[in-house]
Amino acid sequence: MDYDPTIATTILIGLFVVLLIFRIPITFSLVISSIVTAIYMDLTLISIVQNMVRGVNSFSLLAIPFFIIMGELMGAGGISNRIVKFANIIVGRIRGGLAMVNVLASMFFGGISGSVVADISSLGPIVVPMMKKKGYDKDFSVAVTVSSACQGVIIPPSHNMILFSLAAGGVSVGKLFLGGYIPGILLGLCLAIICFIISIKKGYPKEKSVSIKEAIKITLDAILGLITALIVVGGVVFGIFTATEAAAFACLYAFVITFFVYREIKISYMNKILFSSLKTLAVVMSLIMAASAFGSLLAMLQIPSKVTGTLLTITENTILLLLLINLMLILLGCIMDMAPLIIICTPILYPVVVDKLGMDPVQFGVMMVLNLAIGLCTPPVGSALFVGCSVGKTTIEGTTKALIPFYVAMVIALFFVTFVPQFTTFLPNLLMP
Amino acid sequence: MKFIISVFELLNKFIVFLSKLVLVIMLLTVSLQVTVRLFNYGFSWTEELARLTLTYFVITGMAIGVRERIHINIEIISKFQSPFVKKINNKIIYILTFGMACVFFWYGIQLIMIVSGSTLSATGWPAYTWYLAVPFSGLLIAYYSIIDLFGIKIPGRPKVKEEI
Repeated sequence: MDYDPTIATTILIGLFVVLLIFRIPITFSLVISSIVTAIYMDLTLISIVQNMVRGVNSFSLLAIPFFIIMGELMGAGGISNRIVKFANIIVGRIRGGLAMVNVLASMFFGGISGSVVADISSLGPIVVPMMKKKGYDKDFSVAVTVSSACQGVIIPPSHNMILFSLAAGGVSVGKLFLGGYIPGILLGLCLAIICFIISIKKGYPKEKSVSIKEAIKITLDAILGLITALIVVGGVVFGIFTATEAAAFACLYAFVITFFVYREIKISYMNKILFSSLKTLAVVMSLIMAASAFGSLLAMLQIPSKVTGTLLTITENTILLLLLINLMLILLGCIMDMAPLIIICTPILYPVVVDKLGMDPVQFGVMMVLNLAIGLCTPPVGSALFVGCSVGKTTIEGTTKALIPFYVAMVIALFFVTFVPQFTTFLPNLLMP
Repeated sequence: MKFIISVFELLNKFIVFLSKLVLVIMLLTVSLQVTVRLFNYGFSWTEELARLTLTYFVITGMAIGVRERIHINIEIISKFQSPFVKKINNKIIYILTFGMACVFFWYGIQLIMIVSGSTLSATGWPAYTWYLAVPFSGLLIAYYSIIDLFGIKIPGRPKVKEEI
């Protein structure tokens, strides 16, 4: 070893941060900092290219394209409308019914798409105008849409959980899926309580009741789409499929439901769906590939263990350390997107949180994803916030103000996830002991 | 120049078509694997083919991302940059991207040469098949970064954010 590990670490991390600040795409920042570090360490650049290719040569990774196509298919194929009607049957009669419908519909839709942005862009154009028409405040309507969409990344199936599983070195995808249910529902509940309080304060209306005959028809119609999520989670949890196989199967099912049952779009639209999926995947998968090269250098320079050491010198108090890590993740989530943060932060924080503090890997996965989901709703770079404002035609400032009570709800849910392991581990332990 | 642009645009259309096709092949391959397993049968090549197509998809996807300007970056600093500084910053981005693309191109070819002679275990295809897309993607990324560096407009390509 004829290089100084401290200098190599400084080059790798320092250059990465500098490149990010100067607007170099995250994927390229990862690759370029890895290349420069490898040159300093006198490593052949062939190894960097080879590590990148090796990083995506994984059967488990195939689940991500399938989940994304499945979400695109269902989003374009008319499930959103059906889910909104279905949610209306369940919670529409409560005070602030449409806000509740928004929260519950996001919970259902999240079970299909697993993407915050897809959730907002599919449900937002339906629910936000409905809410405005019924007299709900514009900023409040968007704030509910944005915050409730965060359930989508926690409620299974979520491709972000697969990213975590891969970055953490193979945590069971089935357990991660199951671990997301209670925190996702808890988050929905916290948001619904806030909606209810605000609705009472502002006198927002209840929705009209639906006849039993119509309710049965709406339920059957929506359930056909919601079965997609059941195929994935049930298939994985009960050992019928691997996550990848379940995703492929659910994708085919979504195709059949969209084009042969719902029939709201023509089969020629599939070309557009594939291109849209392709664009999302180009970003996510390139990141994974670039992070493989970066990750191999992180491991070679033993950076995760150094981070563990540094954090433990700050404090050895578990509660304080977890609070610190949560704060750090939320702040990072405010300026960077979810996928790169999962890929970059998981291998660094895993040894601290799981190996040193003894947190269950599933709990850590859900905690990390929830933290980053909160970041998606915050300025300056919250993609959920941006999409929500563009859908609802509101300002970032106004929506952010309206989001304040919802941030509180999300942080409360995060506290439960962080400090009460049973919220995440109960279902995995029960069904996949 | 017009000729080169039309050749690369044709190439881009081909890659986008290929990537969509690859997505469908991946889906069908994995579904086939699940289906035949129900009948207690299995193909040895399905998993390798699915992984191979995924690798192609991701590597070429990186180039498609450059063309479509969809790779994520952090934009906070642009609020504090004057139009001139922003322009210089963009040029630096294109030069660095070009450098990275050259590494892909050159070392991709080196990798292909190193593994030529060996074969893949299940399909029996040459082992360099894994890496064929690397220099190809490098070439495309290099092309788009040069196009951006010199501010050449390509019809149908999304504009740089500052120009919108």
